[in-house]
Amino acid sequence: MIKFLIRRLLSMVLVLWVIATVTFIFMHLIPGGPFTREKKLPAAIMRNIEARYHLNDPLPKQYLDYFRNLLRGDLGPSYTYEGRTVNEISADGFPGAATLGLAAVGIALLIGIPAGIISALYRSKWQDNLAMLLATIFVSVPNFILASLLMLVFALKLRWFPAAMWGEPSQIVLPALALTGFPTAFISRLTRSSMVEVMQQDYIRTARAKGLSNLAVVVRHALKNSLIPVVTYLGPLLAGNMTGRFLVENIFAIPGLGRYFVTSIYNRDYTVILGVTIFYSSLLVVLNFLVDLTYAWIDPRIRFTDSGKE
Amino acid sequence: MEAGTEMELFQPLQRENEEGYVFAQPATTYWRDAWRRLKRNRAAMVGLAVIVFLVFLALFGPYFCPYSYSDQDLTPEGINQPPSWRHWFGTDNLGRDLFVRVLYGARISLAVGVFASLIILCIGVIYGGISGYLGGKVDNIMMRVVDVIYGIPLVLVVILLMVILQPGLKNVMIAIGATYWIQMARIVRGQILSLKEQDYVMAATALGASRRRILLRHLIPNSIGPIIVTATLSIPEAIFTEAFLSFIGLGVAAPMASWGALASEGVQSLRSYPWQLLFPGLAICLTMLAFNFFGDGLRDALDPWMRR
Amino acid sequence: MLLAVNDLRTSFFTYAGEVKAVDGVSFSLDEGEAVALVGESGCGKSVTALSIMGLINPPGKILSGSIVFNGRDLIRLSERELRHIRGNEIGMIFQDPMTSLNPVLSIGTQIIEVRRLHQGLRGRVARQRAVELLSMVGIPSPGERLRQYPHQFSGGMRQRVMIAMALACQPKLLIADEPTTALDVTIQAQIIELMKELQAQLGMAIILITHDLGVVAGLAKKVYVMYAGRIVESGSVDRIYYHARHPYTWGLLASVPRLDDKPKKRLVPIQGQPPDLLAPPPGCAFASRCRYAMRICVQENPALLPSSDDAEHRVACWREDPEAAAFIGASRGGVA
Repeated sequence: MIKFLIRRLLSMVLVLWVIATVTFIFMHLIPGGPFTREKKLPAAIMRNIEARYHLNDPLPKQYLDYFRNLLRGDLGPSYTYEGRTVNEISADGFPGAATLGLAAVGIALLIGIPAGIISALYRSKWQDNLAMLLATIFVSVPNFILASLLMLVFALKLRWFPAAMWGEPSQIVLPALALTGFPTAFISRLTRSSMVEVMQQDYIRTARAKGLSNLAVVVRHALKNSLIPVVTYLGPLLAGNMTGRFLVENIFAIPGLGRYFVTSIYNRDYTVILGVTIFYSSLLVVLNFLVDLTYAWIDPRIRFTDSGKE
Repeated sequence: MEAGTEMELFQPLQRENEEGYVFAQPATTYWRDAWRRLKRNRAAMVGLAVIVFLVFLALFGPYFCPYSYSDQDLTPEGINQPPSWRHWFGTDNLGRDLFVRVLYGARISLAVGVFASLIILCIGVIYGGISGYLGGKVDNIMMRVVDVIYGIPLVLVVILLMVILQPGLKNVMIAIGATYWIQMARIVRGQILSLKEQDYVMAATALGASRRRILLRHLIPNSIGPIIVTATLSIPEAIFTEAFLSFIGLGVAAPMASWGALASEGVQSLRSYPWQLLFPGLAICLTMLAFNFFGDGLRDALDPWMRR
Repeated sequence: MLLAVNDLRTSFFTYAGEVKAVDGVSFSLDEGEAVALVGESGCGKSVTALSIMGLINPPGKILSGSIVFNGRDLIRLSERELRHIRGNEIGMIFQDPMTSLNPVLSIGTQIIEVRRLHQGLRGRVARQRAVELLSMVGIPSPGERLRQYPHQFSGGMRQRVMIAMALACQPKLLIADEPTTALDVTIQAQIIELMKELQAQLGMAIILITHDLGVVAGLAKKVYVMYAGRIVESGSVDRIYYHARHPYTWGLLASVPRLDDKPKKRLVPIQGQPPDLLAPPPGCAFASRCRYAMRICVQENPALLPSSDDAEHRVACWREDPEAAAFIGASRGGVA
């Protein structure tokens, strides 16, 4: 178990280093910079700006500087938000992002898992067909369309919820719902297929041969096993949900990280783009690590054999 | 006479010339079996019909319309018109007919979906095939690379690529194809790994078939089912990603407009002219739904593990 | 009479059509008696067992017949009543001990579960009883083993755990579905030996299901040979081993090595494949693989009838028909 932990931690650090390096290289591959796009600046001012952001240093030095800062947790200054650092922007945007993301994933789990189980148990009956029809529909509706439609119907026409405000609980409802559609549908499909597979396993037959009721078989013998794929998907889901928010935050004018990110794309604010990329990647890597721990907790074969998946 | 026939019944059976005696039934082939299952899946067949219909509309629809996608009508009676007989889907803020624009959008979305998933198919099959087939150290290194890419939210990768490549139809396809092959590579590798252990591959190896031959003749054809399914299901994903990119202004350049770009424009005027979002939005949903239904049906029909 | 299965018919309704997995099977056994159901994979022996347990899932369905256990017809019982019998009065062990135990639950949890369910046993008493069960099936240091997970056990040990689980409530009947197939040959003998000892000790009846006539002799007194969903021959172990009359049984016997064989004698496999139960050919299902097949064999199915010299020994073969005698003599001459 400890060997497993150490190996996972080491590979996490490696992955993050590679991601940071690759994004750094990307940054310098991009033609032009944040200041070349606007009206042609006088050469002297241009040089001043470049000196201020160390853009005229040789690349290896920039790389080392960037990494030294990165290790201290400093993502550098923003090019377009005068006088603000990427750290401040992230700190600003993260709480909104996290609240929304957790709310959406929470709802998705609460609805998706039971829906998937019911589908699997009533396989090919109307309950299953209905749930899977809904799931396929919601998998097919992009979140920015869903967000716009929710806004149109519930905020603009029915006026049940505010359209573009942030700070009160009632204002989280529509964006959270918009973000919940896809993960709920996806989780219920995932739960269903893994439940169907688990229910065909020999040990389920053994459990039934013991005389357990269908409910007891599902709860005691099938649930834990069939949630393994769902757990594996949670890391990418949470991270993907964060990126899915780019547009939803934009549509609902929520001051979240995603909104800054989209704005920084328009502005070619590279440090923000890279900072957010690294931030999200770290988040994903850490989440994946937590997922692996949960995985090991569920599955004794991993807990005791000191090896990872597969 | 009666007794005679009765006695003949107990004569030994002459195998070769005994009539009406079937020793073996014709085996149902994998593909015929799959097709039979697919045909029985109503949702998948509706999906297929919708796809065919959409492709038809995208290819020929614009020729039957009196407007082109860039015709403007800037008079007050021309801009932001609600749906009517003249303009089925209404007009936008430059007085352009939305129906034609949605039809052209279908060309872009479908093209991106198909070509991006072709790129995904090529990269994924080659990468996964090599990794799974060679195995050992090569496999290990190649899968580490996949892990690293998997560690970055893929949407970010696409966005970064688009920032580097600059918006444009071809670049959208390349960026999506270059990013979303991970899943395909993993599936192909998994298939190859499990197939490699099968007896017929061992037999081919023992008979001295070359690696190339084994890979092309045995391994790829036998993992073709999951590959087709993954490729089909990556079409809606590509369509979605393109819409997403266009929505944030990184997709196909104006005046051609993909559904994502149309929806993005629609959101700006959601309050006053909701149809400007509604029609492109519905088009995206309908197309993705059709591909998802069809892809799911294909998976159920082709997946040999589900066959029972 | 503990169990009487009468004209059982179980079919699976697949998308391609009806598969008659069990097609009119009858047999019975007394308390404490051990019988064997023998046949190739796919012949319906496992489906027979699952029908008795009431564990046939859609698309499978028991169409007709009766399964009278202890005076009650299991087919007519409600699911709730059946649950009370499963694991309590009838225990079952399965072919593959690797997959038949839940990998994410400890052995102890899985054993205790049975007693708790049927006898409300909990806590220390239940744990103590589980330890006893494990030591009864010959697992060393049972107290520690209780906390371990299936992957920490070897195949043979897992099958012992399965047996302990099946016997937890001291059932009157134990159904063992290919209990030794997935195990090494030396382990196979141990497991059969263990079942024999436990039977002597606890006095339960056993239905042993196997494709291997070799493992039958040690345990069962009576053998039912199944082919394509029907019983084609039945009788005492002695009769089946030394006086078999059905060509299929001959084939099964020829594919098993015997101690009284001459050294270097070749084992003879049965040629061909069992028939497709989706579209079974008319007549005897074995006819296409039978080298003694006669014209009538592909036209009409032979009934299971007592043989001429032993009423307990039943055979379903046209060669038993008096009218066939003349030709058999002739064909024998031909073969020799």
